[in-house]
Amino acid sequence: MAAPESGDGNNGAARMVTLISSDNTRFEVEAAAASLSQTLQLTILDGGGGGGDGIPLPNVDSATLSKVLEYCIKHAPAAANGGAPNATAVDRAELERFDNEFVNIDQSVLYSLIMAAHNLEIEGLQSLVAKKVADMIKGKSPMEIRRTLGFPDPTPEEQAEMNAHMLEYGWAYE
Amino acid sequence: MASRCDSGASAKRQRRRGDPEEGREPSAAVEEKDLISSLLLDLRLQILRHLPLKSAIRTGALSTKWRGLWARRWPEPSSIRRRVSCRGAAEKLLESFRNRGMHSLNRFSLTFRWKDLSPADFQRCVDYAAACAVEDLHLHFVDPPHADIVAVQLLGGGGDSFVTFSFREASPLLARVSILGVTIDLPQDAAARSFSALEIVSLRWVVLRHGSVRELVAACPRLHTLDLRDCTRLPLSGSTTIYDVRPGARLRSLTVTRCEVADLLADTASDLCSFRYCGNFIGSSSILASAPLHDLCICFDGAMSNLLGLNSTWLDALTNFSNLTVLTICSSTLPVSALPQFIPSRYLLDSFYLIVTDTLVIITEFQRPGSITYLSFEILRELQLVMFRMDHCYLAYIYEFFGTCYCPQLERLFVQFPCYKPFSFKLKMPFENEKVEEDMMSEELSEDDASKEELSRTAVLGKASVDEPSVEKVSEEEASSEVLLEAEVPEGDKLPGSTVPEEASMDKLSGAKVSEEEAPEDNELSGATVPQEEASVNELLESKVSEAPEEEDLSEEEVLLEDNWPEEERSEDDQLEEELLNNGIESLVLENDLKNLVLIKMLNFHGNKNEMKLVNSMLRKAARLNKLLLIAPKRHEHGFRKIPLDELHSLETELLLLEKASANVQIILRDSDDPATQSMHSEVITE
Repeated sequence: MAAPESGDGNNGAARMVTLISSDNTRFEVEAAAASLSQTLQLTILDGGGGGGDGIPLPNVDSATLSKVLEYCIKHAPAAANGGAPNATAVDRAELERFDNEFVNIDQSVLYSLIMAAHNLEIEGLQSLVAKKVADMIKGKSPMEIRRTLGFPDPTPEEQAEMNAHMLEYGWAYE
Repeated sequence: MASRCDSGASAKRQRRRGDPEEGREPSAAVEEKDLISSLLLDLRLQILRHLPLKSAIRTGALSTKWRGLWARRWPEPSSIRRRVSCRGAAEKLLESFRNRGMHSLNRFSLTFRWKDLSPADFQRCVDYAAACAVEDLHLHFVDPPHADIVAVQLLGGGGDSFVTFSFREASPLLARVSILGVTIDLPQDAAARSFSALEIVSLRWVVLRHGSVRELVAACPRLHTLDLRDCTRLPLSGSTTIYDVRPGARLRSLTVTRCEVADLLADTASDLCSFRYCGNFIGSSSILASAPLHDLCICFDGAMSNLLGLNSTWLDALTNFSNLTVLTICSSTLPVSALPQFIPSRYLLDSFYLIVTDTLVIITEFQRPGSITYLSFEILRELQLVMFRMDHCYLAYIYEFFGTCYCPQLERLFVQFPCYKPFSFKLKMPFENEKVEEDMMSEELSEDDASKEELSRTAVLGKASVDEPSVEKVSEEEASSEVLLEAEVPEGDKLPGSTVPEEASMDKLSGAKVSEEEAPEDNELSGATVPQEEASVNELLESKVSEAPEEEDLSEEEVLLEDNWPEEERSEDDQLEEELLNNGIESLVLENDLKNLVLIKMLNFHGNKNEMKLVNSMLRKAARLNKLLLIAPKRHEHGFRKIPLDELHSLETELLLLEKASANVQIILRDSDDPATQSMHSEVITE
């Protein structure tokens, strides 16, 4: 697993920071992108992550981290503009398209992402993933939800509980 | 990036701990069954916040871990449920809103009384709920002013002084709305301002303008459940049609009970699977004949329709019973052959011999000749018969129903016998404010000269029963013997028309009444089915009022005997005929339909002859029956006495001696209803 030194280039203008995943992979990204994370932002402002040190992220594995950074790099310019007040419609549409594609992934990756986004406090990403999971639930019956989200088949007790709930909140099932 | 992502995924696969299912990933918890449940509470809540309320609630059924989670997705309290019960409470309530801030709301439920919440405060509460994007809204005004007063105020431009719920300012996320006693206001351009999330609308004691229901339905493209109960029109609107109900094509459930509906047209609702109607007569073309009904309840109070013989064609007109599992019909909608219900019993019996013959044909060939339709309810599980009368011909009707209708899966049978405080579809407010009632009563006393006599009698009786509920049984024997004398008139000789003058005055009396639970209601049952004896009982009472005012208590007692007297004075061969008729039909037709019956519940069971006959035939035919529940009539609110205990005991003994097809049947005779065994339509029917 290679860190992304190759593509990003080391031009002096952008400050780079190094992040170290739980499985010891090093990622070098622009500080602006990493700063989408509230947690990292504080460390970076303190001058951390530069040079050879790197910021260790013991809760995030390399696969998830690369995905998180993909999101951050894409969203960094808009975020730098303070919520993108002067972003064009084209830019916004492009971001939206990116987001839609970005979450079109395996469920396990989604959950890793939402946990990582939570740990790193990346609000936009958390919300994006939560919305994606919500979309998988929306309008479905409990059984369909169970199937979609990979619940095991309900035990008889769970089935009884399910029925009781349906009885209690009948209107929500109509 | 993409390649890294892939390699990441494969790395993860290697790390999976032998879990065969896709989408699993190890995380902190060891025993987790599915990935999403192992997410931190905060994260699950965050997911729930992105869901509409209905979907959020459904996650509560996933597992114990999810059970109450949806309710916590907004800052506490995420549901507001308040009852404003005194003047100062409104102030506190508004204060609590200010403290809570503008967080989203799952549910907002406000119950209040007339004097405790000013229209301005009401408006503030409703505005707050809308500002919090409430999804489930309940506004219950438990003692709304009388419809006429509301109408006068609204038309006189004084509408501001009344609590009105304006759909114009409703939350756009509103999914369910339940309104009781509050006037509703629809924007002029209701259809343009669409309530795209609104799926369930329930209106009770709501005064409606002409066309409001139609406008509301048009504005709710996703509306699937419409429930209208005890709604009245705006009386001074000058329109001849009262109001019409024309639900949209998406409608799946429609309930209309005790409403002044002139026009009900749900024939575009091709997915209608629940239709419950109680009220005056409506034609069977009101709904699509092929609607895929799962549950159907049709009860009429219509005197006129009875006379026209229209009722019994209702079920015949429907064509799709293949999904029907629950059915409730009343004595006027039993699908009997078109026999007028007021012909003398003698002729009736003669006609029934013909039907006996037809029935024999049905049983062997499963078809009926001529105009009589054979109905097949293949998967019907629950049947409820609401009997407004229970004399011998109605008993025969019940047998005939089982003869002409095939219901092999029937498991639960509910029979509601007449309670002699009959069914009323009149406006009656669900509030216990006695004062209001009394005021109303005295007001009418001074107003209505024509029926003064009846009124004063009612007043006296009402007072007597309220003041001296314990004084009873004084001249019981006297009274009942007089009833018998009075009853000497053969049933058939008296056409319902003969009771009209009495009825008219009674109707006038009760028509304008908000809440009135006494004798006058008895006549609202319906002209044709009101027992003529009732009128004579009233006359009798009237004549005796001066000497024994507490006899009101007896009137029920007397009426209880009503079903018995015709038998007693009928000639012997009449009885023989009847015996033949009932046993003949019954023995042939019941077995098929009752073979899966496990529960029978009879309400208002007095133990009189016809009721016992029905019990008897059921017990002898229902081989799998395990419970027969007999509920004695409820104690009347105004001090009527119940069936005495010793009478209940002797009934019990009698019941135990009956022949039973099922060895395990448990017969329970109770004097109070059992909430555990309610029919599906019980709340629609009972009032």
